[in-house]
Amino acid sequence: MGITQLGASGPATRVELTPPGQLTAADAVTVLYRTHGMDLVRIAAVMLGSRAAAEDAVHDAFCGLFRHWDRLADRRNALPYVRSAVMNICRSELRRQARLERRADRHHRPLDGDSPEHAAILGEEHRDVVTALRRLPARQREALILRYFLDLPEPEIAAAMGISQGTVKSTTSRALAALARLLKDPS
Amino acid sequence: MKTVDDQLRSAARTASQTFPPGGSMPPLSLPDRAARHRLGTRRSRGFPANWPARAWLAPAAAAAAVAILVSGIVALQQSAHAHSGRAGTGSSAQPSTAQLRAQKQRRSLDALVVAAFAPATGPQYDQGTRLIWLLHGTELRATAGCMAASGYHISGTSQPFDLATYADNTQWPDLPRIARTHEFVAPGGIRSPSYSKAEQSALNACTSAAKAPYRGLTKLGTTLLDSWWKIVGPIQASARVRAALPALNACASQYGYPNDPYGNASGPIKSLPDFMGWVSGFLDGAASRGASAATMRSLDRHWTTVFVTCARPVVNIIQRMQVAAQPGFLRQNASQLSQLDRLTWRLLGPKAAHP
Repeated sequence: MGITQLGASGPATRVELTPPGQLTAADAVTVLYRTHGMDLVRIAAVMLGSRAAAEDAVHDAFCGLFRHWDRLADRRNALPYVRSAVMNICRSELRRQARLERRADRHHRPLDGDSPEHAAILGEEHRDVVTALRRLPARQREALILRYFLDLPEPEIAAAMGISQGTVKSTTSRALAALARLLKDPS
Repeated sequence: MKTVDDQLRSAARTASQTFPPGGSMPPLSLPDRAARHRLGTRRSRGFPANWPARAWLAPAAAAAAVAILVSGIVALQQSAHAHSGRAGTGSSAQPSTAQLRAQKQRRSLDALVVAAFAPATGPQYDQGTRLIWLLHGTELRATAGCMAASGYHISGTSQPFDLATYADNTQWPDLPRIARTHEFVAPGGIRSPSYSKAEQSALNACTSAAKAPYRGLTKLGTTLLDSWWKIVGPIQASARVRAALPALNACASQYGYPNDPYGNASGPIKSLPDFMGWVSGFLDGAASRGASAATMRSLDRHWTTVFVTCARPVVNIIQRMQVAAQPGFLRQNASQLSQLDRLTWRLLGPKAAHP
């Protein structure tokens, strides 16, 4: 279940890019992609468990940014915007996977469970924590991934998730407690 | 023994080495400029919600609720227009049946404009999507006509949109719909057919041409929505709303709060999003563990009931405040609204050039 804010642009997080007007939309988006693309692939990979899927998600997000470039009120907000798009794409993809799994279950087909690629995305030593992260509710997982894997401060996490800073705090705290419990008792 | 924090930081360090900042990325292939305003079904997945992103949302609000809302909104809007000194028809003669029909249609469209760009309640939010859906329908028909002229066939019939992308938000929960459907979101999905290069190129050109008449409306509507959001945000964080949270906590505790599938919540519910987060934990958690469809239906039925029961007082306060703020906002933005009404009427009214 996703949570969406109407007109959610979140707190304005300023990211200094090349001054607008000097580059074409394609150039500006490409510069942003080269500079921040891998950071976004990292969080998408942890969420989706697959580097290829993560690269696709990030690519789609930047294509979306390019298409909506004219509608960005302040182009310095492009990074928070595309970050939010990556989160939405990952969320949709996970929902799609969950639907497929439910359908497989309905047709009495065996479920995949945690894919080996997902568990091994960061190597065997982190298998437990990655598996546990995957089992968290979507919002809790996103909050932790943005905080730890992208090292974002709370205002930027709030902007990416479309929620308030207070909710980021409570979600993160709840997520850490849940993760601890899952790591203690994976069953 | 490592704490959770240590384990996460260690995993994050490994992730940074595996996916180094500024590391080499596959080349970015951007779509054609002509494809930058494509149809909703073919827009990029997951783009942050804004009004253009709601283009495919199916009109899901109940007919009865819609009728009540439309009449209410019309009254509000008429009040706004009267206040702004906007002239009416000025005719004292009895209007003909055709005129009455046109007036009724215009009032309905005007109401949709308000619901789409300054919704005060969940049902209004749902209802506002009807405008986007109507606009999209005309765009799609225009695109299909253009494609047919180029020798390609695409369906001119709108496909349902994935309601999950928007409608279960915490700012505008439509409690009557949630209570009726026992789903926070409606089933659906985005169909993304693949096209040959030539067909895609024709589609891009046709879509761009079909979109062109609506760009002014999109831009103006988005501006109005942004202004409305600046009023709604503070309302939802206001002292009156916060004062209703103890009752929400008490209600939630009857259904198990602070227990959740992964342990106890860290403190009291501080906002509606907090409550939504707790409720969604049960559903997301079950889905991510591969719960069966029957289990999910049962969980949906239970938790939608819990949500509607406990959230109703807070939602009512929020909606009352938003409903109270709406007329003033409409008055202040009467000229923009009037412009939007005119544009909408021109694009969707009886004299619109439907293909």
